[in-house]
Amino acid sequence: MKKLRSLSAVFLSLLLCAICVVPFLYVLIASFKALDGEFTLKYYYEVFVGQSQYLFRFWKSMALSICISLGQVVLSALAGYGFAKYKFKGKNVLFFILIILMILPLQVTLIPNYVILEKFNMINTYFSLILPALVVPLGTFIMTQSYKAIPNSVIDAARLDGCRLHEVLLKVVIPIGKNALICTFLLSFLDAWNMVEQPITYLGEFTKYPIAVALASVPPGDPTVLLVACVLVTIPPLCLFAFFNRELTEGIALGGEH
Amino acid sequence: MKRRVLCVISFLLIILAFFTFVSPKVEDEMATLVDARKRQNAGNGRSIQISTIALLWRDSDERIYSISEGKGWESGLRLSELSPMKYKHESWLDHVELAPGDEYWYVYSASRTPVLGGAVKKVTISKGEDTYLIWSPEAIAPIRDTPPTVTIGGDAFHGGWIPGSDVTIFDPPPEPEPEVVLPNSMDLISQKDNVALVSINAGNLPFFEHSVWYTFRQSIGEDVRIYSLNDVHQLTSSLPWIAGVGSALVCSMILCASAWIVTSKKGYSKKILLTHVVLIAVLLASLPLLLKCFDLPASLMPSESILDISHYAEELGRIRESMALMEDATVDSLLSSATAVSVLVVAICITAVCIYSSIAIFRTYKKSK
Repeated sequence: MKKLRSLSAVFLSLLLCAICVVPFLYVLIASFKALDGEFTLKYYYEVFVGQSQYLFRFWKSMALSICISLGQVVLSALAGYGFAKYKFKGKNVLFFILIILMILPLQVTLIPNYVILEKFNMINTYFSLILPALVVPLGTFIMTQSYKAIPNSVIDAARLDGCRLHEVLLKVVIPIGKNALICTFLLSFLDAWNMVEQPITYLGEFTKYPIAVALASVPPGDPTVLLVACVLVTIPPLCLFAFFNRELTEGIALGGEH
Repeated sequence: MKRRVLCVISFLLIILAFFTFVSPKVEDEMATLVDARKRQNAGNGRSIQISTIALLWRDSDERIYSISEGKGWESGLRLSELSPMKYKHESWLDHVELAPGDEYWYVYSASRTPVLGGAVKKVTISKGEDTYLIWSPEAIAPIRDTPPTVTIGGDAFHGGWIPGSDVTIFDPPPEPEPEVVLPNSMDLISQKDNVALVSINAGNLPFFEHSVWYTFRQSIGEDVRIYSLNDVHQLTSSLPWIAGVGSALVCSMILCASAWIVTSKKGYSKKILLTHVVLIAVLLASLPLLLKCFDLPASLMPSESILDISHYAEELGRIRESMALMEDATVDSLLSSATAVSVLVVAICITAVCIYSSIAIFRTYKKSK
């Protein structure tokens, strides 16, 4: 009975794994196939060498995502420390609002953000993508949960040793909560890398679109070019996950502990 | 594990950075060069006449093409077919009539067969000296570089009376020898079998094969190829720079692999690693400068992929064979010297990087022991 259970667990995991991996494998294999089914690198040439737009958009998206993720990491680390280690009036209400904001669909905030950004003359600039993305509550939530796991005695000890607030943060809290920080960075990077609605709403010009949005309008001449572009788009998230997979799982696990 | 992933990421980043620098150059070189003219709106509702040179062949059809600004992924100047409603051409006339209407840019001549939706680059035609190599799959008729003298009238005819008969039989007039007549601006240098060399003092620059072919289209076939020796020279002089670009990629890869080996040893020198990173950055940063140093000739570029080696081999092979037939070793010596310099550039770059990497690896191993 026990053996049967473990076998079915293995089968189920393999099935789930296949469901996740098969579409990506299909894209990868099909990107090397010509219309007549023969192996070709023609479409890779088209995307990597023949047209500069694909790679330029790729780097543009990369720069945008790094800016958003770094900004979010800094703000989340500070806000999370405040929520985890300080007592102030309305803290619980604020944290509740934060969780509600986290649950709210993105589309709800699109219009209010648009109105605000328009007032600041930021529509059709990259600031319209970066600024609203900096204050996404998920990072603050993860960092709060992570910092709550740090015993207050550690911070008190650091203070007794003469550390100021920024030293406590930089030398004690952040190194201990490193995994949560990396997890926040990765999640915000993925969020920024895959964003579609925000650029469509806030940016008017096609030339400014990041690659995830521009892919939707790849000329329909040959769909294989689109598959190669999809392979290109998956490179950064895959690399980041491969490099930080331990930190990501630990960070998420830590966030769920409290 | 992390180190291995980092190594793969570094390789990927180097490749992506390399292609990011190279792809705009490739895009630029692969764009069809066009001599575009503006169809002015005269305002009086009258059509205008243009030369039939503007009729370009594509898929066994002669059409006029226009250029317009593309959108989205196809931004920049793009080629499109001019609606047949906008022009009229009768096969016996040597001009095309453009119907009255809005202003637009039409293609007067292009560097290659038009590709619909393909990127184009407008060029200004200037004049300069050039030498054309004319190659035909069959023997070329005698080329004459001065127009034939025409005599009006004349009474010479062959024939005579047949005694005892009322019928006069005339010999048919002799068939004129087929010959290729060069335009006034061209001079014949030499001709042999299916190849001819022609010099021109004020040829169009850049060289468009179709426009040159058009000047003596009535006396040569459609399958005749015309090459500009200026373009051949331009291509051969670009080879060492291309070799430099390729070497930059290979050397970056070698350095990346070397950095991976160095970091695999405990207690490796951070200074060595930093030097590797700086060298890779310098090599990649040198790419835009290297790419600015050369321009490839549009007439010798393949139609689809810039990496189509068979196209270059076929074209240069044909030019070399033709020049050998003419007992002219200029192209041969140009090609061999360019190849030698290119090989030397690649060899020097790769050897230098390999020596540096070996020293770095050797030092690290020695230190770890």
